[in-house]
Amino acid sequence: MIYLSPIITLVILIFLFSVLFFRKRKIAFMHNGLTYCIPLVLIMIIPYHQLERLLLNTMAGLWPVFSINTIITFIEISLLYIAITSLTRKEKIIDLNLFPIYLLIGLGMGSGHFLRDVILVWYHPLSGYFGYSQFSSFITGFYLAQEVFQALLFVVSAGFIGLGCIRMAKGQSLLGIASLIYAFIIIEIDSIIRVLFQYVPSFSFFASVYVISLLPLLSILGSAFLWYSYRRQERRESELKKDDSETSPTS
Amino acid sequence: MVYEIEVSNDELIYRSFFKIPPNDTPQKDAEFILNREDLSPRLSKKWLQISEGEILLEAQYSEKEVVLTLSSPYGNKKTSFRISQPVYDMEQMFFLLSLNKAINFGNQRFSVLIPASGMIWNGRMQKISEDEDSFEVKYTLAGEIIYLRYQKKEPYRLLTLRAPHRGYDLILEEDM
Repeated sequence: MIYLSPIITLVILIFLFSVLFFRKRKIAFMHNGLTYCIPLVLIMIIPYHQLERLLLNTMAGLWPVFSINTIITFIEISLLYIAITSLTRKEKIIDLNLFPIYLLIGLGMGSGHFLRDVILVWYHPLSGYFGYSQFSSFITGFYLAQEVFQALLFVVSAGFIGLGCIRMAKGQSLLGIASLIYAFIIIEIDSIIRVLFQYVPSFSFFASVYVISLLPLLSILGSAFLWYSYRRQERRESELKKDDSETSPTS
Repeated sequence: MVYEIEVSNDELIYRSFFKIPPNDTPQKDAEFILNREDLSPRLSKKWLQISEGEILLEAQYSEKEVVLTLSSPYGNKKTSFRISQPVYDMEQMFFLLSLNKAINFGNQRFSVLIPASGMIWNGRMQKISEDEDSFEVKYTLAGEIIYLRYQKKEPYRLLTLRAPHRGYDLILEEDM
């Protein structure tokens, strides 16, 4: 049963996502399947743990580890950005209708992250190394919860990158850049918390509340802020459409 | 923290215990057996307490192989891997008797097994200061920095252990 639990968790996650975002949308199975699978495979093939181990073998201390974590977050965000912009190029349109697809790309990357870490712990003969001197030897409920919340952060981050691309394409450069920065910050905050509780003794209490309060709080606040930004963009676009129709000559 | 050292014909056995107030009952922390001749590791055991029970990590060293066993309330895991060069145990560095060896490490890297990770990492010891009686070395392993002060003369006792990132600042006192 313990070996089935990650698969069941992932299926539930995808089902809830489809119910939330693809209820009213016609699902092109092949198209959306590829949109989901490409980022999933992309993040799984990056030798993330090997890279982190290589860097930790040469550097030590709070600031070097902080830099390592920032580099890795930057790589993950760049992958999301590449996946989103290639979709935009393929679709040849960029508007808010694509928003659920952007979230699907984030879910694909989050699922890849989830599967990569779970498979590592599952198949490793002793322990899966998953960053900042943390080791896990068995798949537990807490471990799965942590991985699910981290996958959700990727969904939120992809949403912000998508909004950023839309805003930049519509000439709202400053807002677009701000959205891209939010996308980076949401993943980076999670990494900073993990670095802080490993390297700053006064923050070590974070370790005990990380999965039960910090990660859920970060996911909820991130999702709420993304939803607010999306609605704001929606309003802004409808206002622009209204203005356009009022100013355009009528026959 | 209480350390016990036992010397037999060809082995040195280190045991460490935690004493957590108010009950002061010693709790097992680690046991480490070294070859007395060349200080190579033979057996390392580490106990970790979690809410579900106890985790025991055991590393059995031989000339060409390390066998790692993990027993925990969630189940057991066992693995082994071949080693082609001398490998030190993570616990060994804290009880390194031969300071000559530590000085010889200089800036060189050496292989250290962290049993909890089941992986061999690069360790580095660098002498950062010395006074009449002691040496202080900066020990880096898997992104962590630990400062160790050793006695200059035999038996090269470890005097202090500082891990600023972990909040440790231990002064080791001898209790004969």
